[in-house]
Amino acid sequence: MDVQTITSPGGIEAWLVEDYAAPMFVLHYAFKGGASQDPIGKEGLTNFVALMLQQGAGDLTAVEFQQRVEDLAIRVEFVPGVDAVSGSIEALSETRSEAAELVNLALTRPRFDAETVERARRRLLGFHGGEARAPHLVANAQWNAVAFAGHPYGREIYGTEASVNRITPEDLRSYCKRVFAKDRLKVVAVGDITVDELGVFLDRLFGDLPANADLVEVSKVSPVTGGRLRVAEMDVPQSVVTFGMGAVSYDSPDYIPAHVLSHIFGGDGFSSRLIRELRVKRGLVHFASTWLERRQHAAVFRGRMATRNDTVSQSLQIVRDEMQKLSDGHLSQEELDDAKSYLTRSYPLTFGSHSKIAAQLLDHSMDGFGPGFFETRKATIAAVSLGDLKRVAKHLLDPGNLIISIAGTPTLQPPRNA
Amino acid sequence: MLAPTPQGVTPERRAVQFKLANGMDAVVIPDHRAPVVTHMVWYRVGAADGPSHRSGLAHFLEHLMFKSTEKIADGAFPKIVMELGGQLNAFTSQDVTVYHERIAKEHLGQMMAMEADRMVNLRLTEEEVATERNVIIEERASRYDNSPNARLSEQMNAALYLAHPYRLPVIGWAHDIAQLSREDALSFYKRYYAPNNAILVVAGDVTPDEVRDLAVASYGKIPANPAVASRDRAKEPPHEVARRITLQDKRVANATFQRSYLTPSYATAESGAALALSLLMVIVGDGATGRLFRRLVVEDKVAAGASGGYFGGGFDSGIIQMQAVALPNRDLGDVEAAVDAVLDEVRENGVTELELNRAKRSLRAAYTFESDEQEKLAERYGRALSVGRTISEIEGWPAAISQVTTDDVKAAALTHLDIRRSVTGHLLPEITNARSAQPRQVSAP
Repeated sequence: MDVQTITSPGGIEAWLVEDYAAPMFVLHYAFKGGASQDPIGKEGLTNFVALMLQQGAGDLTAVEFQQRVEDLAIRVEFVPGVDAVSGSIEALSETRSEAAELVNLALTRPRFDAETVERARRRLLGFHGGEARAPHLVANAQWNAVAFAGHPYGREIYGTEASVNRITPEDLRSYCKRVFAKDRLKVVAVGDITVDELGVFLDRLFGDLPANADLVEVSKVSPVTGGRLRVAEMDVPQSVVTFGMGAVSYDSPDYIPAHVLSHIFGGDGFSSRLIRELRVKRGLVHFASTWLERRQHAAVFRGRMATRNDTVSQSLQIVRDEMQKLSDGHLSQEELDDAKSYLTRSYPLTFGSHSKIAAQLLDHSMDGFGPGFFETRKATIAAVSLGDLKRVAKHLLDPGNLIISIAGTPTLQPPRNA
Repeated sequence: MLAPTPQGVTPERRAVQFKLANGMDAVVIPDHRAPVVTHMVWYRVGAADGPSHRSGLAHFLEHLMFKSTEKIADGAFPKIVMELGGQLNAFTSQDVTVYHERIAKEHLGQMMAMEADRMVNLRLTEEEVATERNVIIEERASRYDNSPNARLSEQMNAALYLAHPYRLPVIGWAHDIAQLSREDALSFYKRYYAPNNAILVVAGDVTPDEVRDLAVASYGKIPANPAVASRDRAKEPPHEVARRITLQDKRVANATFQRSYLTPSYATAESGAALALSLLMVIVGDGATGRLFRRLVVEDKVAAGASGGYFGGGFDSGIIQMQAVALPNRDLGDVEAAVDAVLDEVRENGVTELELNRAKRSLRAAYTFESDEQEKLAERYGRALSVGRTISEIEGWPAAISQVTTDDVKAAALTHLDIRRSVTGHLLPEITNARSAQPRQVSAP
């Protein structure tokens, strides 16, 4: 796969993978900013904006805008994130330029009609009354609030009922002006499009955006250390447990070893240590996994599992014990080799469609890697030694730093030392 | 106006089908964009084929299929696939049980050998079975018991079918799961897992001849099981009355309306009715341009969201489902009245040419976008073939959609939006003084 870096006549940079197997094309892009830019008291603003961007723009009302999307047979998405608002366009080659014009309209001339804003607000409030009460979201929100107290990361992307109620059409308008600008934009294109065609497309799509964003500086932050345990009591038969702690950031040489370590501890598939101990041997959980979380201003190692209320303590003790074992250096060359083999050989599978290629490359681009990263990644993983792994495990995985957030009605016993 | 015609510009992708001497069906869908293959085995047996007092048995066996054989130790199957850089999983529905891997093409032969091995050589210990039963109890809690909407859907389903086994949840009722034994799993396995009850689906960077050679050398060595019989499930009697159910749950804040109609499926429908139902439900229920959303959310302002869809993949029947979440100050009765007004209108006056053309474009575009993803492409063929449909039906679907008329859609609405064949569900908040989600500090470790 050949990733080219191109610049449009108007000066917009993008990565491009040309592929002419099918007459379609996918564009993924992101404006840095995201929910970390939501003003205090107006949490949920980014989320609100993303929902509104397909609700009318220029001369098109909400319904007319959606009908236009259907008439053009394109797919348009706006996705709110903590660190960015991202978007995607999937179009057949023949409707490409109309797609660019339509999405440009959404980004530069969103209408935010009062009635449409109220309709969206009702939907967002409905979310707070409904889906937001799902145990995994409650556990997650509580984890963030504890780990990042006082930092924008401690707030939820969807805000609270009160903050959603405070957001005005003017807030939505000013957010778009502050965030949708050319200097914070990352773009990846994949599919049936040449370098010149992409240049024209990018200028049509983004050309008239302001040159510079006006963002609030977000400070670097680390999850609180020393361990925490917090329970959100919910009357459900099964507790959902989110756990985690600080980790290492992308620019650290320890990042890739930490990635390998997370895979061994609780990574994909059926053979991680947590799955072996919690599921295969004891039948305590259906799922349990860990990962390094993608955030621009913090490095986080996270995990999640769900288990009956009366087996939460036992399961948590196993998580602590397994973490302690890794921290103490109980790691074998064979485990490392298996993990490296999986992480390098399965990577091409993440490029299974235009859309997946674009999403994966955009992640790399947002994390500050160059277009060649997908090639060097393999060598970087292959170079991880057992010594690297043990060193990183020792300083990263201290069970004493575990922040544990539970949603449910767990019976809890104090932890015992491993 | 612009009228993209995805079916005209999509490169024709002709799947190739063949049968092994032992009766195993195979289909190959070449896709040479990356040196990767998707390998799937579709067993023509699902939850609805198990004994009714052992609900969840097919899904239970699916979990146990990751245990050992003589050649592959417990836990080794996923480990081997992952070491080769592959991904794997399995799923169970009412009609099928499916095992699949995505992997670099040079490992296809090994995947086939391993899948063929566990088709007939599974070993199970009592301990493995007991542990996995607990895993499934946790899975059931995550998917259903912890979610009010899922609980309502499960109850709606139980009420929709009067006799047919689709009324039982695929994962099983909790009390049935608790009783599932090693013997139950093995007898189900021996009866249904056989080459003559399976379909091999391979999509990816391979030729049909390569796949045929590999299949003959692996699956081809397994003898057919003459005991595999065609499906014989309880049939639905005529539906004479609409059913209504109400579920109260303290975690519900906004009342929710659901409705399901029992309909034909693509496999059972006569002369294009399923195509018309697909288009009807795009027009009625799809997204923010659907009639339900426009009426309930935009015009009447009784609901925060409203949508619906037609699911026509079943072996014995299809289903239309719709749902709407009431706004906090609105009565669910108003929501239901608005839904019925939308449905009465479409039954009486049908749909417009403009709506129909837009729905056709939308479905054809979805077909093209779906073809971009190899797993979805493979799944499209497996799903259809496993309920007895043909490759020409699958590949001719975009063209067939184009032929549907407004009269067809109106006729489908009149016939199949029949309240006697429906269940209406209300999900309501339960007023109690139970604890809410208030965090409490417990202790610091």
